[in-house]
Amino acid sequence: MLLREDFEKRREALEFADANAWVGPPLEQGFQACESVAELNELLRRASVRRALVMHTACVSYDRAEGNRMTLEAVAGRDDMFAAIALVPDVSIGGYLDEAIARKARAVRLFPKAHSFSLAEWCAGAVLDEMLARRLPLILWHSQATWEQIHDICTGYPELTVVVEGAGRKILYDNRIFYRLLADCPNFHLELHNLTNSLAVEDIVARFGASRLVFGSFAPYHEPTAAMMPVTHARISDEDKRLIAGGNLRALMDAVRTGGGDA
Amino acid sequence: MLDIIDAHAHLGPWPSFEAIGSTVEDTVSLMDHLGVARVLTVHHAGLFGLLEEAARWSEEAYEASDGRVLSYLVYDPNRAAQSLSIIRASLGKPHLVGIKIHPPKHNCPADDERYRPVWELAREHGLALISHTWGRSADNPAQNYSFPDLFERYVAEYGEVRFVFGHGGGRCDGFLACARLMKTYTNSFMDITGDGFLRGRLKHFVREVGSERILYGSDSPWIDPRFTLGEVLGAEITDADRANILSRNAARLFGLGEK
Repeated sequence: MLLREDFEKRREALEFADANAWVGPPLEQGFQACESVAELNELLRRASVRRALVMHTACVSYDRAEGNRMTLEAVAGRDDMFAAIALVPDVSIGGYLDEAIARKARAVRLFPKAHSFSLAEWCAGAVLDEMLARRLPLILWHSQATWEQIHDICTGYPELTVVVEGAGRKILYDNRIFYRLLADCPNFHLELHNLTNSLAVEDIVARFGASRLVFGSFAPYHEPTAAMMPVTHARISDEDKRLIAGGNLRALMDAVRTGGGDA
Repeated sequence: MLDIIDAHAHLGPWPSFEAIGSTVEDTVSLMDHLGVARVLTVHHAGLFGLLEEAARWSEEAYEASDGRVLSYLVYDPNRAAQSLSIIRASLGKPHLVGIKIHPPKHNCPADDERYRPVWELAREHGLALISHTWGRSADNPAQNYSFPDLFERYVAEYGEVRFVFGHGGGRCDGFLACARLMKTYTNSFMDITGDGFLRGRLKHFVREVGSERILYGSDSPWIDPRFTLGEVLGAEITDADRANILSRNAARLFGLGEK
């Protein structure tokens, strides 16, 4: 069988769920973007992605409230799409979060550098408490925080799922640091789109288990299949591949609930 | 079955991250798993002034891999005489496929006169020349020494030399510049290594310059070989383009027959 056909079959079999998909104007110069969420959906479907967490780039680059509105509108009515929303420190967000969850929000990204706030407990603690109460996972770009801040959040909120994405700067240089976090913080996870170190999937699975890795592609800005082959062709068990490809993300999303206990 | 050739990878440790997979054994094991017939490597030591060691370890890698791990040797413009001597001593040896230059690592702009000796050597002996090339960077200004436009001086003057834009310019501005230069200079090639898996970049290059001068490469251990392999397999290009990129172009460029 041709390598391409084999790759397609493996992708299809693993039921990928993508934690890192975007709509809206590109954040950086590129060759192709998606004009609409329908186009994004088609791109992901062709790549055999069955479910996606989507964020509108306006959440980062313009205004998180307006971006969240656009994100929630984009995923409405699409069974295979859910929303990642952006938050900033706010005195009362519980009601906002419950409404967002009812409209398919399943994760939160914080952008402390872009949005000028601190991740310290005295500034972001109230937001993290509300997220934790709703089992909303925190997704952070490593370029938006220091590793010390990430460590403090992981240890200060051990029940909060923290997923670090390698956007904005190469994360490969930091493997001596994030391996320490993998060892010490069971709630620390890594998303795959830019986790490029050779044999990273095999090595992390062997040392820390497959539950610590979450597939993400950074589609439509990156070719989604680039981050898929380190999973489809990893030298790990099929069960571990399924967890990384989509099982871990699905479990995180399915655990989200409102403050009243509904999702 | 296509024999994939990885035209740009590395051996050996790197100081600022744990270079998992950078031994000959790990490299060959992953090659076997993915169907990669041969890999063209640079030993990291050569980028740090350890030129003699890099040359020796490169030759040992060829032997240990039964001829599947081939090597570029580094020309360091700050150690020009030593570099040239070591490369000349390796001429004709089966593991040598070309010469690597790295302007940011050696703090020397690509169009600097200090690079003239290596272009002369490449022309004299018909050696391929590959360079790290990257987009402009405010965060890492040394990268500006390797912006594709800076190579035009020598690429134009030495039209007989087969030159590879390693990383194809690295970022979108670099990719665009690289493609422009490749349209003009048919002695130039590019590889797809690096972490710039931008959707549509392969389609852009194939449309602008054709697929006959694009080379698959991994950049391992910085980048796992499966990233760019997955990009090629998923890109909106033809199977013939894929075969060119994954195997035929490198086989032709470096004179590598079927294995």
